[in-house]
Amino acid sequence: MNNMGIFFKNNIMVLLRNRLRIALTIFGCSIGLLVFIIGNACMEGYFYNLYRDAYLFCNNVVLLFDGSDDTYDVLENAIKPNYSTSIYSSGDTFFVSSNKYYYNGVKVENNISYIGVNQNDFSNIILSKHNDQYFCTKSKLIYGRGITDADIQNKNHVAVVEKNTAQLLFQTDNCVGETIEVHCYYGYIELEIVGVIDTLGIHDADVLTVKKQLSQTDNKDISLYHYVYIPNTLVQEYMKDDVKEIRVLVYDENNYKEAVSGFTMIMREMDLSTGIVSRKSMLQEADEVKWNLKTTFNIIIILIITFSGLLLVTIFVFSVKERVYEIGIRRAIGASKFDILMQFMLEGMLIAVISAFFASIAGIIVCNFANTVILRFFCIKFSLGISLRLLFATFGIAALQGILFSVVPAIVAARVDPTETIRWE
Amino acid sequence: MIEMINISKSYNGERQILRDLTLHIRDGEYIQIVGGSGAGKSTFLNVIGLLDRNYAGKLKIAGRSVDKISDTEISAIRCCHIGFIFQSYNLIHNMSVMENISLPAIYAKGKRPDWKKRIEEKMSALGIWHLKNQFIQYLSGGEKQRVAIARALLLDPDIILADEPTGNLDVDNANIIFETLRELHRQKKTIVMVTHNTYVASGADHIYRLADGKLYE
Repeated sequence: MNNMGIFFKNNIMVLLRNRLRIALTIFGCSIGLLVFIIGNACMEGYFYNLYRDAYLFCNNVVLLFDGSDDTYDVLENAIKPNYSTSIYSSGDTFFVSSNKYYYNGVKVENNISYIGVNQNDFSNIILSKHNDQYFCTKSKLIYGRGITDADIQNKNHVAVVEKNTAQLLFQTDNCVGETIEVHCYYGYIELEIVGVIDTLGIHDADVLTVKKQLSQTDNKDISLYHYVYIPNTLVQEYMKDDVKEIRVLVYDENNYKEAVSGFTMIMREMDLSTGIVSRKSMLQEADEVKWNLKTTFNIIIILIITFSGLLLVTIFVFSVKERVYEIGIRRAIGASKFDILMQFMLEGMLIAVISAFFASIAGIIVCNFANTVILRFFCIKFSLGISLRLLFATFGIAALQGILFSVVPAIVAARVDPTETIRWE
Repeated sequence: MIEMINISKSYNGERQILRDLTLHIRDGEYIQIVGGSGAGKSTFLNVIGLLDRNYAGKLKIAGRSVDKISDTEISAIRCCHIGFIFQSYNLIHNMSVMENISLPAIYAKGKRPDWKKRIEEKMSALGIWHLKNQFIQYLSGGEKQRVAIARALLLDPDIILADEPTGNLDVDNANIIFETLRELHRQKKTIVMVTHNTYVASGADHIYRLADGKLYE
């Protein structure tokens, strides 16, 4: 048994024998650390989605959007001739059909937004929208064909859908040959599905929503929203009055920066209000959101941890008062003021680290439970993530808290006069 | 071993407890200090034991002046050279016998003996090895005092300071304690024992009476 072993046994093990006091102290400290862990996990999950959305936007693409005819004219006449662009436009949301799913009698209303395209290569950039967020990703054709130049030129009534849309509308991945009925201002038009592209990976929530709603037995109507790609000329033909947005994508790899500058300049000259969205702008926005959120959160956390640290101080000062006799004895048998100071600071740090351990365990349990609940009941893929870095940070903060907030009680303990505490007679 | 030169101590500048005490205690001497309640015996031991440093005069331990040295050095001297035996034992109640006895080992900087073996030797010599895992509150007075003595002797100090070590004990236990002190005396330890019972004060090399802040032989 060496000095460290005796130190451990006499100080640490004895400290832990006062179960009630230790339990209360650990509980108080753990609360602050648990809030820190869960708050950070929420933020990590939120930021993950925020940045994921940004990174889903192709790096060499810029999106402009505006709903006016002037913008469209400028795009056609000033921008398109000079830059490699693709012009999209979108129509309104149309009620398409009411499909009744046989197995539980739930009435499903499918709402489809039409995105007019003038490209024929779906392995290139695909523009889509989800929860008011634009995504510009690459996909691939898995069934059928894309929209051809002939389709665009001849205004053929054809459409390309995503795989999950095919699943939702037709309960099959390969719905090539199926038709969608569109009710627009000019009446009903039918679109034949000629191709299916791979799911863009951002509409998982729709699938979850449907599954959740279909599992309910109250037979409520449910609404689903899909995006279908049709020739741009069809939009111009049948949906022009309902066109909400015109979007232009620039994806000229060679002069991307020049293209953006060119767009911006032209738009300003024309005094057209427009927005420019790119991965860079989305990342900047995400950075700003992240910075604001983190700053606010960290301020709150500092306050909470300070409060729990003050709890530690209070309990420790009481502990010192209670252990005055013990301190006097230790001093009498050879402990210096520094030894007493270190003993109490180590006790503080130990309690804080144990609190961090319990807070980490509780945090992991709470986050896993929350993830399950969020997925099951809200059909949102929002993950509360606890990373190793977060756990290390928790223990680091706990150790710092233990040291900082045990300094005062430790100094009080070190100043105890042994002659006043030792009973000679 | 211990030299007290004109040691004076008062409380609040009014009540003079020790007045110009001069005393030389040689190595291996067994000194007994007797006096009534309030005579200043505790204060006397606090000063010699380096617990109370608020005094006037000079104090030397093993030829070294201890008046102006740091708290760390003072603690080291208390740890390794002085063993305390209190009347009320002054053991820590939420620790076991073994833990109480091993307490000085934490502060014995630089010393690295086989502590377990040493503790076992001390406890066996005092007949308390079988109590090693017991908590203090379950021991009798005699057993507690033997635990306190084992703790005081763990680091083989040169100086033993004892305050009425048998004050709370019955005759049989008291005799065990006296025999232990006599054995320590035979081992050439310097012993300073304080008591208010003159009947007990026997077997010492010198007996002093403390009265009015002064020592009388």
